Amino acid sequence: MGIFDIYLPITGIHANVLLLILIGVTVGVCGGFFGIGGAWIVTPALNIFGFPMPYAIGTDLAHMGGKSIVSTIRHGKFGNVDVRLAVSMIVGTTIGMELGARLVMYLERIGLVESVIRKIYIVFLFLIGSYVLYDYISHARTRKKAANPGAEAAADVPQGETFAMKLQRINIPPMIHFKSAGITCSVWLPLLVAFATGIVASVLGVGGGLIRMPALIYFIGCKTLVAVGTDLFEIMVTGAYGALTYGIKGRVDLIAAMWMLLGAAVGAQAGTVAVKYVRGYSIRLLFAATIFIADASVLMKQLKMEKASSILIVSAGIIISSVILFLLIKGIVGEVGARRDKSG
Amino acid sequence: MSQEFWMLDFGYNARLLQSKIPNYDKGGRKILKNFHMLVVTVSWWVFTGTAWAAGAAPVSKLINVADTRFMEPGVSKWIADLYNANLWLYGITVVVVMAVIGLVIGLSFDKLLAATGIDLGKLDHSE
Repeated sequence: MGIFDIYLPITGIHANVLLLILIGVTVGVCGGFFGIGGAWIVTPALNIFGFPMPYAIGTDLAHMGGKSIVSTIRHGKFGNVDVRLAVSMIVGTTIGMELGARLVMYLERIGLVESVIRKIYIVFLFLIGSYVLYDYISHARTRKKAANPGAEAAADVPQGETFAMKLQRINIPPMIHFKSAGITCSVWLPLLVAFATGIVASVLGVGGGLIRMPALIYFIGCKTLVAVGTDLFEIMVTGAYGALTYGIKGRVDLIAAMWMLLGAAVGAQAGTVAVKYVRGYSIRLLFAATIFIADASVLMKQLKMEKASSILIVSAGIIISSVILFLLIKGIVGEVGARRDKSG
Repeated sequence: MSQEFWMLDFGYNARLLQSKIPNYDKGGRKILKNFHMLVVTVSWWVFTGTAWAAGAAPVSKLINVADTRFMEPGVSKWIADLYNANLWLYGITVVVVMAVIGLVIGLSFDKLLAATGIDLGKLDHSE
């Protein structure tokens, strides 16, 4: 056994501490930056390293709660968390996830669960990723036209109402103003959007952040940064509940979770602060890339390439978190340099 | 306290609440809103989680015991002994430990970042 190898008595395996910390940093950075839990990275990573699946899920949820507290506080200080909106979403998501779980049980009883769910997942994630990418490309073209000194080009910039704006105008009481998000809409809008995303997340077996974050942007009309922060608040609550319920069932390896959290807490802060230096639409571009990678990994699992799928996920997570850390360091160096020039 | 007092301040009955809370303008309003949000969040969390657990199909029990026979005394052994002794207490310990570690490390790193001189105040939300 190497010096960084430890024995985990609850799962009954040996693990490398540095790898656990690396997984934590990777998922922490991605989670703090995108406002997601990162279960789709952690669970296969732990599974590769020998964790039985229930312990991989439980240990991930446990560390997710701790990591998300840190990110939520930082995003809150940035003004990115709309607590009212998050609470409304939690209510809707919880009910939706329960209904989704019952739908899965029904599909299982009629023998359709395997054939239906994974295929829906692949198509659904592809559609989400494609739409987010299309949105980024449209926005980039619009900005390019607006930056063009030609008067005609500026006049051609479309100023249409988004789908979310149309939904916000539906007047079903009570109408609520969500201060941080800067929107006023019926409370039924976030409740129903969260209900739908909860069903989808539960049926597809995903953590929800991958679906909820774009739903906050495209159906409720949040700015990207507010969607990230608000989603993290929800993940903090659901992660804490997941830690408790899996802990009571004895499916959390607390020692492994502690080592992962060591890296994840630092990574989450880094990922959260990185949003300061990246424009909202650039976050969406990286998010689209992340969704496509998650989609590819599920497709590989469908084609019985389990190990390759897990390796793809872990490698992609490391690459994406490295990109985010690079943007953070570049941003910090730039800001500190600018301050020195100003004061000097 | 009357029903009006507990009405959530979504812009409704602001004046009624204002008249009932001391130092309302000096921060009492914010404290009430934060407290109410906390109560709502925790209540929904507990209520729906309990309902969810109640509605789930019974799971076959799998007894797992942490092997502590060859472990040296220390934090790992203490955790493993707790796991073997009482899973409810273990579950609560998981939540508390994760929250404390996350907060301590995260806030320490936050201070470190602030020491670099970068501005960590409110962000502009423009896209």
